[in-house]
Amino acid sequence: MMKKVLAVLLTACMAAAPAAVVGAETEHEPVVFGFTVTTNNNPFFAEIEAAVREVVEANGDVLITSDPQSDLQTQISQCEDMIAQGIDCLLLCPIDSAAIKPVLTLCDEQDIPVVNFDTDVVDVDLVDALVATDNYSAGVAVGEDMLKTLPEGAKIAILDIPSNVASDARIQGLLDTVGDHVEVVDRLNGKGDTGVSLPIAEDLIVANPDLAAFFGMNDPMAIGCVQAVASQNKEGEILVWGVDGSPEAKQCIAEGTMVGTGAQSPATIGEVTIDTAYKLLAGESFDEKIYIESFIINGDNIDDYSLEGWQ
Amino acid sequence: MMDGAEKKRGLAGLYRKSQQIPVLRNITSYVYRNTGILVGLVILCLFLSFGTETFATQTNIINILRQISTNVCLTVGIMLAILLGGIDLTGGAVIALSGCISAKAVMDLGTPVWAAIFLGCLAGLVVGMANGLIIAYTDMPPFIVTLAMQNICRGAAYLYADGNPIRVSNEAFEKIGMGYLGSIPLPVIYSIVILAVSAWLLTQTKMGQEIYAVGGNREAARFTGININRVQIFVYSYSGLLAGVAGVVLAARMASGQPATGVGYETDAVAAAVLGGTSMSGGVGTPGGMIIGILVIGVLNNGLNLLHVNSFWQYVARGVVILLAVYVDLMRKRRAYR
Repeated sequence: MMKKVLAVLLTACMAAAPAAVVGAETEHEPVVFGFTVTTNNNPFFAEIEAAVREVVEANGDVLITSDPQSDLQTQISQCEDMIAQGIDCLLLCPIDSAAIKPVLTLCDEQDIPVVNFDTDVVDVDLVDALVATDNYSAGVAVGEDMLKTLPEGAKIAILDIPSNVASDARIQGLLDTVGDHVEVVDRLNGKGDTGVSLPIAEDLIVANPDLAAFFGMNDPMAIGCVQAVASQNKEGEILVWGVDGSPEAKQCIAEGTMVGTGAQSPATIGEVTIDTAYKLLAGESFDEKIYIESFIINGDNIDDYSLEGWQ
Repeated sequence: MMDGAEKKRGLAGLYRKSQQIPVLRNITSYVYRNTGILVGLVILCLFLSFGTETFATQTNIINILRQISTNVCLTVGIMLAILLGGIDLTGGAVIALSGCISAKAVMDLGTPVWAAIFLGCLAGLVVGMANGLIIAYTDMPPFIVTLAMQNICRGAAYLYADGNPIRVSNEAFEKIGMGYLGSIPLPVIYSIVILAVSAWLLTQTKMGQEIYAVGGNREAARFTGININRVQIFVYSYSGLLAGVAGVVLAARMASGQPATGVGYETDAVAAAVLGGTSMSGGVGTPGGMIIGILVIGVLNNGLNLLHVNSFWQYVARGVVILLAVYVDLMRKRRAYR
């Protein structure tokens, strides 16, 4: 018990030094939120964290963030540590939808509510609320844009991250939407990285002289395709789509080197997640399942968005 | 014309005869030393030339040479570290860091392009020098030091870029990676220069001799009065500098500084060095062999894509080729010692 109190005090001192000033003004005992995502290195998650932190700190509460760096075991042990520190609510984006179960069980035993966001867990009955990114709809948004732009029978190549739930959902959304209208000639592992995707995309352009378009499962891979198209002097001949709506992709869309991106809004995901968490803690009514739709950003609407940050 | 006695001896006879002519002597002993891997490269190229319509085209050959330029920088650095009996795992992270530094300099700080290039390369040099100083003066294992430094650089890249890629729209900067000299891409020119300088360094200079000496037998090297710390600091600094160069060139090719790029690039570099006959225990390895190793990895990666091989099989194929090539080389060397 003593240890737990100490842990909470320590965390409060370390994690919430700036928040403490605000906290002093408000009367209530600060609520401690635990926050965990796949990796803080991904700007998408960093944006979610920033949105959550802004709301939490404005309320004079505490947010403890852990960075599992895409390692499942690390995520589980960091969650256990946060639970031991006495968090009041866990905001969770699992690295592995099924294997995160021990954490869910532990929270259940200790009556710590869990708000699951971005990627949904398998054991849905163990979480209190789900704020999911609709990855499938991102693929659909790009697919619809392709249907409008590409002629019947056009050949496309896909760069993806194999066996990743979000990646599979996006590509499924795309394939279900385009149907037989386009032919997928290659689907290779771009590891989600521009540097890896660039040479692969160059090779695919050589291997498929009549290639019409690339679909990058995320924007970094799409940027690799954009640069490959430039290095092979195929600008305008081979079109590129991505998913994310990253500032870099939006700049390419504005330049005309990329057609479109199935955009997601990490800020919205963060805001809805923390809003749901507060409602849950206060005993107010909330939606147990919220799906946040993706939308297309392309040449038609690029002027509506800032090229600097996320939407 | 060969006389009867030499005809009987076949290849060995030809080899001995060629040794009498200086220029041929260099070429034949080069071929002889690297037979295993060279045969592998030739078979691979022949197979791809007949198996695909696109491999043996000028566009594709130029693509391969441009693609391997990043690996050339990393492999040279890693090979030198391995020759010393160490390893350098910072390459991929340095690529990300130096790329972000030069991209941000051009875009946000308004630095002239030459200065941005300089800053990116300097970042690599500083990281490498830090590796060298720590390894030399603390005697911590290079594996641990460079692994830790890899994490530091990766974090620094993310912090500096604020988590997001930095898009560059500056024609002069992009030229560094996408430009041509005649019909040869600039990155290929850098590779040739780097390989030539490194080969000269290893074979023609005192520092080169000292690197082999330290890697071959550290104690003996110490007794002959070689300043081991100086050699270590030099090697890791050189390796860092080359990774910095690779980072700037890759950033120019991507027209962006990508803090997430370069993860695991060391794997291809180690594979290329070992395929090229560099011994993991240090002291053994030639720049000539390394070049073939780099080509094998580059051609293999390219060929698997041209053959439309699925990603999962690509992993298997790469593993099998590395095992085979190293095995053949090992067998040949064993026979040579007998």
